[in-house]
Amino acid sequence: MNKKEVFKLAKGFRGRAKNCIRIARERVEKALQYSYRDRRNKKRDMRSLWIERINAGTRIHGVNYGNFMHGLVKENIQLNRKVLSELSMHEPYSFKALVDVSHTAFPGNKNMTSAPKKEGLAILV
Amino acid sequence: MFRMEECPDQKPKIYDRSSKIITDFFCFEREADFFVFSEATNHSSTSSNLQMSQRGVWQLQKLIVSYCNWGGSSRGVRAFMESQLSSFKETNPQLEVVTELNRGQHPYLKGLYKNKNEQVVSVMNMTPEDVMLCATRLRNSLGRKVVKLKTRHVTKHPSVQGTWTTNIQI
Repeated sequence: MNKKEVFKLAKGFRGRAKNCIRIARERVEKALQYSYRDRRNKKRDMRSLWIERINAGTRIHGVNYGNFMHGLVKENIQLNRKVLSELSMHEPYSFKALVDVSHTAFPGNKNMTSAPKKEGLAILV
Repeated sequence: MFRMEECPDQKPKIYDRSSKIITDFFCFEREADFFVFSEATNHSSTSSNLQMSQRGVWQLQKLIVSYCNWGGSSRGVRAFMESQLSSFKETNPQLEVVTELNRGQHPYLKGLYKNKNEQVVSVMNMTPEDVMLCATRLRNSLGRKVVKLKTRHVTKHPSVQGTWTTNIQI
């Protein structure tokens, strides 16, 4: 019956790995190892995705991610990165308010380059 | 965001959690039931108990008990039909329960739901108590497919202020 379970797990594999037991067994073992590892990696990946999105959202307003988060910490705003990324995507005005709050709390050490200005034909885009 | 709504008067039965199969199915049901959309509104409603009907309306319309009067795999279903089926019918007056003789085939329970979905569960070689559990599960569930939810939040309106595009001027 173990063969049956192995083949059930090997659905969708490429080539002989889904049909021939010797190869399927190896690939299924590897697939299970990968899924174990990736359950932990997924959490890391999601967090870095959120951070990327927050970074993009804040740089529109001329603030970078690091300064933004520091400002939030100073103001004791405990929103997490997941929620902040959702806000930056779907609630731009609320996010701008947050960026302003953070900026007043912590303007940053260096002068950040202001939001990129569009010149010429780029204004149309 | 979604609002919680109280479960209507019919309280869900507490399952015996000792059996692993039941627990697994239980979890699936819970996930599938958890975020429920009605066609009328856009908000999903769940309750702190499990939700078994949609806004006070049972979703299972018809239950077909298909059995064989000769085969050994139908023994449990036949015993169920003699002993517990009548009480099941009484506890569920809204449900249309039909017994169907299907000679030479293995027995199954078929549930027909309001969303025109049918769920077939094989009750081959099951004890009458197990058949009762299957029937109760079918009665409790919505007609949704048993799939794992991709995201934890299910919404038709992800944005209040309007999703960001390149054209937005703030």
